[in-house]
Amino acid sequence: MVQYAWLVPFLPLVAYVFLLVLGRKAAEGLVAGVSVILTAVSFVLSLFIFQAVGNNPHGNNTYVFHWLTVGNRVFDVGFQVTHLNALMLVVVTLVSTLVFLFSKGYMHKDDRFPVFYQYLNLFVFSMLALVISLNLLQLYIFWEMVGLCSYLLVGFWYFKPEAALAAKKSFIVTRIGDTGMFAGIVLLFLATGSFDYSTIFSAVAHGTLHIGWLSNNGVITLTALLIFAGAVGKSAQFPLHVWLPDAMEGPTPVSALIHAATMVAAGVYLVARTFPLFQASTGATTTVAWIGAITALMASLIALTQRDIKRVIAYSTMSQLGYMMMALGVGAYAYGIFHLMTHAFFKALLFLAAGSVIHAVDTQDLFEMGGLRKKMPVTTYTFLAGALALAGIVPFAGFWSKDDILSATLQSGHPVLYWFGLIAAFCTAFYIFRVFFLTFTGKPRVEEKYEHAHEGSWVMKLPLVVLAVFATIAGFFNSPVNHYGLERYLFADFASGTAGVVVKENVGLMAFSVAVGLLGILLAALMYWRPAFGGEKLSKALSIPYIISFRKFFFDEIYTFVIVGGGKVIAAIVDFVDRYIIDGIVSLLSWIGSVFGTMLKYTQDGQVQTYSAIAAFGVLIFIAIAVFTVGGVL
Amino acid sequence: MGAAPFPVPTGSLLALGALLFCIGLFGALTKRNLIIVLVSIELMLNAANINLVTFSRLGVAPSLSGQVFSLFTMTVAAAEIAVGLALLLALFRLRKTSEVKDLNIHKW
Amino acid sequence: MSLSFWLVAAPLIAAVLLLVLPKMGGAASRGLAIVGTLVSLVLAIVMWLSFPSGSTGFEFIGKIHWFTLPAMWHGTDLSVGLSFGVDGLSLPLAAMTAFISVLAMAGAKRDIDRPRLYYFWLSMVTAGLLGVFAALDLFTFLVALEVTLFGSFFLIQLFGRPGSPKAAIKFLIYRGFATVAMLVALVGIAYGLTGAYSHSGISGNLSFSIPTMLNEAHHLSSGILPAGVAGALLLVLLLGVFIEEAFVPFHTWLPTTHEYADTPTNMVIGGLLTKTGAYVLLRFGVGMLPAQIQHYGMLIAVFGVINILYGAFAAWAQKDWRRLIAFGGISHMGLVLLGIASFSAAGLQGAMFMIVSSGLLTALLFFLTGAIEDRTNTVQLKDLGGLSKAMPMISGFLLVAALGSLGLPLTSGFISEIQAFIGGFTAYPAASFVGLGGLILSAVYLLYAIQKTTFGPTAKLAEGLSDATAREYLPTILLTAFVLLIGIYPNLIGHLFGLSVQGLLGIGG
Repeated sequence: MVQYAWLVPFLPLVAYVFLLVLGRKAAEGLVAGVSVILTAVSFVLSLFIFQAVGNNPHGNNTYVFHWLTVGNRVFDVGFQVTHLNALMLVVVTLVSTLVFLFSKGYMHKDDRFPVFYQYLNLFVFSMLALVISLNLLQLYIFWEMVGLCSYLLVGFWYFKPEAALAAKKSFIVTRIGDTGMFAGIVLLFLATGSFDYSTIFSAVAHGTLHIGWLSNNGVITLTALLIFAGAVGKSAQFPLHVWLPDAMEGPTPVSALIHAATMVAAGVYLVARTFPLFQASTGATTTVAWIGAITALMASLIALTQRDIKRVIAYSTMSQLGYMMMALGVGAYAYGIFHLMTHAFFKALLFLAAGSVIHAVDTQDLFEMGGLRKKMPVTTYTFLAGALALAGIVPFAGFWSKDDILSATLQSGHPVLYWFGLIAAFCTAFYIFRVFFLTFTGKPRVEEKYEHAHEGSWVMKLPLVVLAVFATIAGFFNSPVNHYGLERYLFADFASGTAGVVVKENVGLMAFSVAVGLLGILLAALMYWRPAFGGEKLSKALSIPYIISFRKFFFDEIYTFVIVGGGKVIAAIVDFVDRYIIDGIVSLLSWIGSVFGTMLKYTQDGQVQTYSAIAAFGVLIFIAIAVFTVGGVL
Repeated sequence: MGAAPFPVPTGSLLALGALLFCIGLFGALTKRNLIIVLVSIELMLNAANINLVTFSRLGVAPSLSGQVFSLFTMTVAAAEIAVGLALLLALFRLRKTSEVKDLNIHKW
Repeated sequence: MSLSFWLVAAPLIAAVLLLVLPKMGGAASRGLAIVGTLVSLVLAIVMWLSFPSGSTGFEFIGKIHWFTLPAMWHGTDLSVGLSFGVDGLSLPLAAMTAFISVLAMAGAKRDIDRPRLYYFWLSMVTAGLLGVFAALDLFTFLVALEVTLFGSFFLIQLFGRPGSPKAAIKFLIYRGFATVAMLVALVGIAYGLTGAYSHSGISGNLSFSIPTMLNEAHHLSSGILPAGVAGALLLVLLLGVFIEEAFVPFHTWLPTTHEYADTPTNMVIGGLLTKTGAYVLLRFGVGMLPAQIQHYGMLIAVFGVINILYGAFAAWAQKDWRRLIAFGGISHMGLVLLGIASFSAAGLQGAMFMIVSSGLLTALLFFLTGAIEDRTNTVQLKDLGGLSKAMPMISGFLLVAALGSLGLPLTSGFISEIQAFIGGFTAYPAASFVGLGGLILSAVYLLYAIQKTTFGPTAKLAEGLSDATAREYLPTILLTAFVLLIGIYPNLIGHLFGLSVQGLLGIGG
């Protein structure tokens, strides 16, 4: 079964090429149908592969092809299906299928409907190929490809200036991280002579990484940090997080698929995939954990005050990715991945539900919604399931994974990080229910928008329901119910049969974090559902923290001023130097030449007799010199 | 060839040549009319001829080659003056002038 | 005669025919020129397919004796003639030359004034470029170099935009100076290697034959040529290469030239003519003075990084697509210097890939911006916007070209970058880390330009314009296809470059 894993990414590629051939005028039904069916087949295949890998954990899972020779070294391509990869395949294909279905309704009557599906198929292909990459080089290739698809899809409505800017920003900001990752991969290649994970990990285990100018430990820490830079960019972690909220300018299904469930999780996947490398360096793991914790807290604080429904969820995504990073940083390998999986389901759900709302009321401003529960019951209750999962309320999916992470953080001896996570959990519960109450309960704030609000067709409702089911039950995949099956499945990738921290069940901790979540929901309810005290008053009372949160800690302003502004100033200086100094010197030389030429041209007066007189005079001088030389005077 | 019955001193001959050359040079550089310039050039050529003839007397083995060479010079000078006068005529027809200073189309 | 002789001769014959045949119209002139260059392209492909596997030397050698300069050095005669042949380095470059030239001709606008003259000079430049890459004799090489110089000069001067004569003169003076510097260095190297310091004795047989020089350089690893002399020769050669290749600070002719030249000329100059300098550095610098290249490696690497960053920052500040592409090219070629400085298999191969990649991408970018200019009459970023609406295909290909330029994987740009940086990090880690900035900056300036051009609300002047025509699809699709093909299957040219790298490093030890 595993040898057919290449089919999983290949089918979306087939769909992409097919749609490309069909062109820009193809019928919507055909386009969406082909995409959904092929991706669904991929999903079924993934399930089989998932099972096959689990049944035969030590079987051959690697397939290699020759790509390029450099000197005496060979770059290979191919694919490899580890347990982690198999899980990712299932998650990505499932969410993709549902998003494809949803988009049929959401993008209905868009001018470029077929193009949208082309890009999405290309993305799904790249993402799946990334997941089963044989080595770091191949991973980097598809890593950039998904970035490209994200760029294309964020800028899908290219005529909107904000979308154009957001697309550019998303590409460039992630490119900064990617450049670090590129360097990390190159250095690993220099140190081990290979891009292969297995070669690198065995070199790490034996401590034989060595570059002429750097020792083993230096190589490990440096490359781990450089690779982490790529993950920071892709997973929108502090300080490269600024692109993700802006990327919400793309169509909402894109946000659900790329900017919630799959591509942004690739950063987490990357750190997990190179886990042994990170484990070998305390500096690297500490960095990962702290960056994750800071992002989790910061993003959840920003999400408290945002008015745009998609941006709240975007910051939520960022925050949850921070949790996953923190988990990997403290060594809770399995729980980071577990959370990645559950998060993919409930966050895709939240985005799609938000998309359903936006589709209905044609606004993204929370304060123009309200009372939609009556008009859109399916959306309301599926959103609620997602919100409960995100808030970590038992027994929804998020509860199990988030609680595992928090417990692992505390049990591995990181109390400060634990509190970071807990505060973030409180904020999370608050902001997502703020969204829920503002959108679905109370009275409509803008009447005419409420009037034409309606539930979407079945293509939009079905994905919501399916995802809601997963958001409810996915937590049980790694729970006492199945003896922590997912954990054991993921650990099979490691020769030792385990990796990092394994959580000991602690009902007290579980109850505590649920209580924190409930507290957040309660506060949200008191402010926005049954206003005991007005949210307005509170935000006025806390005006300074409110503004800081609302303006996103001023990151955009600072970056625009310092980095973009600085770059532009340097560019302007270089341009000035180029035009007026370097080219100025060139012009000066040519000016000097032309001045001399102008001066000498006046000797050319056209009078033959002048010329001859000068010539005669010259001859006289020569004669004089000759005579005096011979005569011994000179 | 033996010594001439009334040998003119070499110095006198060379002085004559130099004088003629300077007169010719002066004329060629200063005269306005092209014809006079041409005549002056002839003077310079003749000065050279005198020198050639003079020097042909001297040397370890005096010979006639200098005198023969001066005949060549005269021939070439004749050809040159013919071409020169033809050019002058053509120019005069074209520009209605034979003044040297008017022929300055190569001025900057 | 050998294939490599006809490779150079075919466009030359076409050029001569263009001069002598009477009553050639625009279409006939273009057709004749295309046929001439197409023959070269076919020959290049034939040689490619039949290139002996494992050969690290020159193949398909052809020689014509021309004249003999007697007693040039200690009584030995110097035989001068035309001599051609290709190896793993020059064959891909020659093939690329024929390829881009054919596409430049085929994609040229149909309403050119004096088409006969135009295609004559284009054919001459093509023949010159092929001669530069295929020359096996210094004399042949220098003659071919002069042909490219004058041919391009007339193309810029006679067929450029208003104001082009001034740019043409700048071009001529700069590159003329480069030719002089290279001539001095190359003749010096020839004297040094084969005359004065030949391994076989103090006064060897002076030879201008490039294979002989390479062979002598091989024996010279024991160091008979005094290091001071060799170092001085390399520095003079570098001066020539820097001007030829438009490296900072000798680059200002390039943006000016591109600003004023027309589209096919820009494709040839940007895609091919600016690659001769890098070829000279590889062939004569790395091939004949390997010890000195290593000795001055740090200097070359630092200049490489300066070029990468300077070009990128300058490109960011440009308001004109053509100047932007020019500075982008400068930035790219900086990476070639870094790769060469590293003097490793990966670095050298990366440099070779970058030459090809930058050639294809620069030509593509110039062609597409030219197509935009044909419609909108401007390539100023501030005047453009929202072109995706009116011309989705041109916009799409422009994006692909930009992505290739910024080194996105699965394009040729990425293959070049990763190899060059593998080389760079081996030898000069600090310089390479700084050079990484170029990867970020290239995304900044290219996507900025793309955003201004194809995204956003549709500009007034772009309303109701038509998309690409059949004439424009051909070069666009073929160039894009090769950019992607090399990116996806790099071994296509990698196996030839690999042979050449083996030859070069065999010399270096």
